[in-house]
Amino acid sequence: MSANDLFILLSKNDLNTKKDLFEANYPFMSSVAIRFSKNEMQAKQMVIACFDSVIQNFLLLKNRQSQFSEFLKTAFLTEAVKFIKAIRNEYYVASTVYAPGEENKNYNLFENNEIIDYNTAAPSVVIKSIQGLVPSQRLVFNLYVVDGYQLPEIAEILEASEQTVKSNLEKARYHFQKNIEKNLKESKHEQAL
Amino acid sequence: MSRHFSYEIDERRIRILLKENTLPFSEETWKNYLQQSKPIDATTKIPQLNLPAISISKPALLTGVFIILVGGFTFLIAKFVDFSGAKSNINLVREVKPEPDNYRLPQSPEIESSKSITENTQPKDSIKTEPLTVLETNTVQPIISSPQPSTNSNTLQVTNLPKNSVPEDSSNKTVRKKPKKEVEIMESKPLNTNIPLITPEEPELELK
Repeated sequence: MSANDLFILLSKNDLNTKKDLFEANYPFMSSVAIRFSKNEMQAKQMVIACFDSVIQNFLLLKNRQSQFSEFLKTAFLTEAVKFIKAIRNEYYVASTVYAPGEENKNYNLFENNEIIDYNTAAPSVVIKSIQGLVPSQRLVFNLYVVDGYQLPEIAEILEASEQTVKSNLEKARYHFQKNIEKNLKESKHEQAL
Repeated sequence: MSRHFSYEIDERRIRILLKENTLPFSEETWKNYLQQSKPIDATTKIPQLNLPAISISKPALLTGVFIILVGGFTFLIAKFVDFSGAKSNINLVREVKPEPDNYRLPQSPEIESSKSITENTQPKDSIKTEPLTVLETNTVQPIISSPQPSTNSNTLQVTNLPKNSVPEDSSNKTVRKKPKKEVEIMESKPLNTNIPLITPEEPELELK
């Protein structure tokens, strides 16, 4: 199917075409949504909202020869950032205070003389650790570490200063490591039970 | 944040882990999408203008706005205010047309006739400033009006010289007389000598 044909079918709101595109790009969209969101439910909502926005932006393109999959990879990230920033009660409040539900704040590594190997942590622990970050730190960590953006580019995407982005990245790394420690301990405790 | 914090996480491994972590696609997911998705609006086909992101700090923007406002007001005021000097450098020069009639005073016909007589006797151009001879004396005695002038040297004498004559002795100090101007002969009415005798009734004085 050519790009022009795809454009015509999407403008007519052809459901079959949309389903094919949704199914083909769902793995990429879900991986981005999981690491950007605080839980799985929010990730599914993000996928639906951002996919609609990407299709609308694709229809507004002047160059109709561009491939939809290539266009989606950059557009979906932008829409995901907008989605997180739109949740104002989480984004602007949680950025300054710790996330609720943290009872045990003791992150003493040498309490039980344990050496923690972060590189052996399970994917679920890593996902849970990154979802435990505050939204601003989560966005910066994902864009820098996972998606490979540089600090000036991240500052432009988040509409913040480079110094703010750098500060958030340092805080994100610190809390990410601490979250891994906590989640590893919890997982070991659950296994012991 | 602790000062002794050492970041020991391998970010390359974290990147691979997070990119490979996906959710499985199911029909339920597609049904959820159909329930929650919004139809594509025809109006959204209008191309959006991608304006360049210009980062201007608030202080700089406010300063620029104030400068523009003040400059605008100054320009408005300058339009209505004349900044040239109060006294203009242009000297207004009246053009005077050289007409001899401008310097002549209006005169009555009688005066003109008398004037013509005087003109015959004494031309205008012949007015001369003639000094009079004055004899200096130590004492000044009152001038006695007499038909013949006294030849006493002690008295101050003024010789009435004719107008056109030139003094013979120029060594003595002379007093210059002001040049006589033409005297306009005005009309004179004859005096009435017949004075009406109106005697008021006076009370008779009683001589005692």
